[in-house]
Amino acid sequence: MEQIRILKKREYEDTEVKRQKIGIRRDLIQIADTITFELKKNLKKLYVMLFVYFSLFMLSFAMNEFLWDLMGEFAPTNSATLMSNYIGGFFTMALLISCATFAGPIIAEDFYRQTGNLLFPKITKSKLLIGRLVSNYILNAICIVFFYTLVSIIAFIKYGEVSTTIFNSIGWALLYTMVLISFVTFLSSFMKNASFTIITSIFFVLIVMEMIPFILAYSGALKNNEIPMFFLFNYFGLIIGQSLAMPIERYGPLPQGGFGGGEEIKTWLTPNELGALLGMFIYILIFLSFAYIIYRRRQSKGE
Amino acid sequence: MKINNDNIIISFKNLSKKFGDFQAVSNINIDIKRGEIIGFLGPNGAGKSTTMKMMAYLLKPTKGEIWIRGNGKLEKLSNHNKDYLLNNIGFLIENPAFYGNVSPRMILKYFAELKGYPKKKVNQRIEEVLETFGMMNWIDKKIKTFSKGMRQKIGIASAIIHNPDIVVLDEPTTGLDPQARREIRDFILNLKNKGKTIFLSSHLLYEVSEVADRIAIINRGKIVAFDTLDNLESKNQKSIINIELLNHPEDNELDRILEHIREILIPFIGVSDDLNWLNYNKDNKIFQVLFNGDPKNQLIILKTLLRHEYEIIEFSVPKAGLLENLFIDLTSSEKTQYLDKKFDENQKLKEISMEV
Ligand SMILES: Nc1ncnc2c1ncn2[C@@H]1O[C@H](COP(=O)(O)OP(=O)(O)O)[C@@H](O)[C@H]1O
Ligand SMILES: [Mg+2]
Repeated sequence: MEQIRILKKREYEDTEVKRQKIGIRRDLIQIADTITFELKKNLKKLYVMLFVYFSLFMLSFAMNEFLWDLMGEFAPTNSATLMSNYIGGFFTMALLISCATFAGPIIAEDFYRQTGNLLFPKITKSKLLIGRLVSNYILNAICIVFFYTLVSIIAFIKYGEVSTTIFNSIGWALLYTMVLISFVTFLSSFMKNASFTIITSIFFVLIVMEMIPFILAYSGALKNNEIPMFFLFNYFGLIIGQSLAMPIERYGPLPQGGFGGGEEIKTWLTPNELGALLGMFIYILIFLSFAYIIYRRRQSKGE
Repeated sequence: MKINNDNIIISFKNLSKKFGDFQAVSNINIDIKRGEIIGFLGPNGAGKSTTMKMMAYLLKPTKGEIWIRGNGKLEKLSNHNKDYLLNNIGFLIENPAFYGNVSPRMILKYFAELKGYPKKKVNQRIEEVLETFGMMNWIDKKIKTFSKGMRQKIGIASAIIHNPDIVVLDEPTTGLDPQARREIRDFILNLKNKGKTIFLSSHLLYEVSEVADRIAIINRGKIVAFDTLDNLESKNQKSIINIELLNHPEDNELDRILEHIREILIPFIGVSDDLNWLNYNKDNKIFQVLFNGDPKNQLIILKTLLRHEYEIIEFSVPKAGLLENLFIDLTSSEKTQYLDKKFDENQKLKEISMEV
């Protein structure tokens, strides 16, 4: 019995290998390794997300086609307005879903069931976070580019041209993605686990933050939302769709408005470019700083 | 405590950790020498993982220091040198979960590369390590399909994948079946044969006694014993007889009585005369005789004292000094009150035998 075990088991030899010395090179390699590992780890999620984007695209497609048939007057007159039909509503929702799904675990997963015990002796939290943010960003960017490709194909089929404003829009989408990722990262830094983070962030942005302008308007506090909603970061997301065909009047009637059927409610439809740029950077900075501070201080609970 | 021994590669000095008001680890002093296996033994909640986390810089000590040898000299572990000091240590602390949807190859590759292992040789290394665990067939399977024992092996593999000189394993065999336990034990011995230094915790005596060169026993955050297994056992095989006389000796006659007892008992105690084997406790008026624990000697000691007309009203041997018993007692929490006394006794025993 004893002999059989010895025969079966081959003692491994530690071949003498020189490891990369500690220093900036190793730091950069660590970040690069984290990016590749996270990308590989999330490959399946990426396929699922691409499917989600595709489904939402198909949904917009069906709705747009259907609506045009019913009410010809709303039919977009050029490729830019057509694209803004796609990129306004469902797209920002898809963006939120993918950012939440990819970034939800970003910090929380280290403390849920002690996975961090494996990682932190090997890599500092700051490098880990940088690597993960980059890979998160790449994953979301892939989804965004995929969606915009679909939209420009449909625009090209319908109008034979694709408005160059699509590049403005995609630029804003890429920046806004970073705001969303930062927000989710911030939540993830103190949430118990990834699923809570994902659900909370989607709920918060989709329900709470969407409600606030309405509550303000209907409560009469801000009768017509005359102050831009810069204190809600999703306000800056509006520029993604609007930048395809910037409205002349940024202050106008709520697109979804007309809830109680009473008087028309006006609101800020989109931030201006400079405001959006500044606002988004500030949000990113605030969210990431807080996330990092909490992450650094957070310790895994004992068993 | 001064450290001038070149062989010491890790040294805890008065290491303490408080969580709020709760003292999880208090004043731990342990030196670990190159190439030895230190067993870190204690019941659940004793502070083993907390100590190891401080070593991995996952927790900061509230007091005390950890010194680690890097580039020839011992250096105090701190934020600015931790990467460099911990570079040569592999950790497996508590029961971390792996990402379920990745394979051992993927995760081990990531971990090895984080530690600077050359990319070209990583695959070979992973295969070598998994081969020793007999897990080659699973190398590309998703970890979520693995049993507990398999996950634990991957955990150990992740601690040693970059081939560190020091390996810290926190209860690596807890909750595993005997077969897996034996494999892991063999693996630990295998590591030792390669000259690795191993710091291994467990709440089961036999797990560490099988492999460890020295054992540190921790209870409620305190080190209550730290020695080789042989020494711990031999010390604990000795017992103490408590003797109370009807007439408690007066101070002026005490020395004479002690001298006399020493004279008549010395042939029967069965321990080295170098030890300070006879004591008198003035508080409870009890004589304490350290002897080899053999019941025959115990009987002779009693007879001898009676023959010399000592009026003995109490003659007792506090139960079991054997390490095993000691440790079983230690793991049952209801007894901790009683245990503290027990440990004090044990400490005293140590002190007694150390006064050489
Ligand atoms: N992060 C923490 N916060 C508060 N108490 C903790 C924390 N980690 C551990 N403890 C407590 O410290 C004690 C020692 O824990 P631990 O070191 O995990 O014990 P062991 O590993 O020996 O079983 C336990 O009573 C545990 O409840
Ligand atoms: Mg533990």
